[in-house]
Parts: sequence; C-alpha cells; structure tokens
Amino acid sequence: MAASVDVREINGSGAGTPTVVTAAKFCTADNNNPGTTYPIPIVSGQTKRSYWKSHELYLSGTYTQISNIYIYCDGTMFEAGMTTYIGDETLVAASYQQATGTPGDTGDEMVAGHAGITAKTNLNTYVVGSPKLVDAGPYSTPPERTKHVVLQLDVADTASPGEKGPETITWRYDEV
Amino acid sequence: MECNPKIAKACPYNYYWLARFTDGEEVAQYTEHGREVLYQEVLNRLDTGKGLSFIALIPTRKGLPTYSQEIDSSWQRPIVFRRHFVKPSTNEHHLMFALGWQATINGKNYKSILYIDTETGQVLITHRDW
Repeated sequence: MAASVDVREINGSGAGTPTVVTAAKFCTADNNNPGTTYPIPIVSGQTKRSYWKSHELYLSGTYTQISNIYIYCDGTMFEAGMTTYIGDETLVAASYQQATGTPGDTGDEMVAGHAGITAKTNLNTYVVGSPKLVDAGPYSTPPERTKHVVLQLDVADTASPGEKGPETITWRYDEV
Repeated sequence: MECNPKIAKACPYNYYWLARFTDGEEVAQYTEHGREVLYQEVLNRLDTGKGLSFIALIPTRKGLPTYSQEIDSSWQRPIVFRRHFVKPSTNEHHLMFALGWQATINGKNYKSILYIDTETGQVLITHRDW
C-alpha cells in the first residue's frame, strides 16, 4: 500500500472535525457541504465574505517520507469582483480556529478574526511556477496531519450573481 | 535492465525504482510477491556503509525509456522521490519521478535532479527544486 493523501476541511468548534473534501464550496456558514444554501450576498457598497475555510492534507498508508507540500492555482480564480485569499501563515492542527460570521450574510475577515493569521495574499499570486509553501515537513510516521491553510472568498458589489466555478486548486507534495 | 513482469504487475505506476548495490544485491520498489518496499530499505543499507552502484527507474509500460543514475557512494547521495500534483476538484493526479544525486563539496550542497514525466517519459534536468 502506497501513501494515501486526502484533502480535508476542518469545521466546527474546539479542535474541529475534519472531512475529506473534493469540491469545497465557499459559503456563509461553517459548513463543508452547503449545497446552494448560505450563498454570499452581493450588496451595493459593501464587500461580503465567505466564512474562512481550513484545509489540510491527511497522510496515511505507507511511505518513507512526505515533504515539500505546496498549494497553487491557475492564477485566474473566479471573476471580477471576487477575490480568493489565503492566509500568509500555515497552521498546525492545534492552531485551528472555527470560522465565524453572520450565517447567510458574511464571514468575519480572516486577519481580523483568526488569531493565527496576521496577513493574507491573493491566491492568484501562487501559480505553478511560484507556489505557496504550506509545509516543508518532513512527515514519516503515518497517519499524520500536515499544517493547514486558511482560505476565504471576498465578494465585492461588482461581482455578478449566480453559482460560480468550479475553480481548481492544486496541491503538490513529494513522496519517498 | 529489463522490467520484471511480476514487479510490473504489482506496481501501480509506469515506473518502479531499482537499487543495485556494489555487492550485487538488488532492491526494487516491489517484490515479486507484490509487497511494496519502502525506500527506507535502501537508506538503511546506505547507513551501514554499503555502497550503491546505481538506481534505475524501470518502465512497466512498453515504449518508455529506462533511466539510470550511477552513484559513487564515497561522495554522492542518491535522490529518489515521486512528486505528486493533485487537483481534488477534478480528481486529477499527475505524477513525476525524480532521480538524481547530491553531494556536499567544500561545505556546500550540490545536486542534480532528473524530473521524469511518468506518462510520457520526457525529462527535465535541473540543479534546483522545480
């Protein structure tokens, strides 16, 4: 059995509950599978936000070492008026913090609301040639959790309504 | 070096690694019985001072070339890993094998790495992380 690597979203209070996700959805609730509920409203003169999302890799199976974990996108996430941010800090599981906000209206901004995040960067900055380092590792004793990233979608009043995406985020890692 | 069909049957990738030591012992990524062998087995032997002759990446699919990295264990350390590119939203999983060597010379680390696309067999040779 080779290494098995899953992307997990952590939700809920306390240490949180990780769930394997394939198609994460930004919404205005702490929910990994909202469907079409909890959309992010477009309001004139305001920027509304999704609740922030905490995503990690879960490493299991057998491997000698997993290291050099990076994340990036294609540089064109969503459309005008919509900005996907990633927290500059990547955090160990103990620093997980539940996303907060007003359900159905807006999430709290990650830098202001998350104790582990002091700054954020447009995810479009990180592309295949200049990905963001999530966790250098190395990990060698499965099962293990990598550091997690904090993601948030801002929606300005210039955005157009409707269900958007899908957009693709790529995770990269080295396995020995 | 030809592909061992029993190993190829067990290997889920288009390539598997095979290490040959100076005493003639060979350690492959899979046994003929299908058990996966961790690369740690190679590292453990190197830790005992055993010399490595080469590490090869052997294709399990016809039409792909074999790659072999000779190693002089007196000054070179082998580099072997798999680089994964995972797109959860589309369930895409692309894989590259890396094969090369590194050495500490006058206190500075030098390395040469061959990145091999496991689908096409095409390569990129670089001295840096890619």
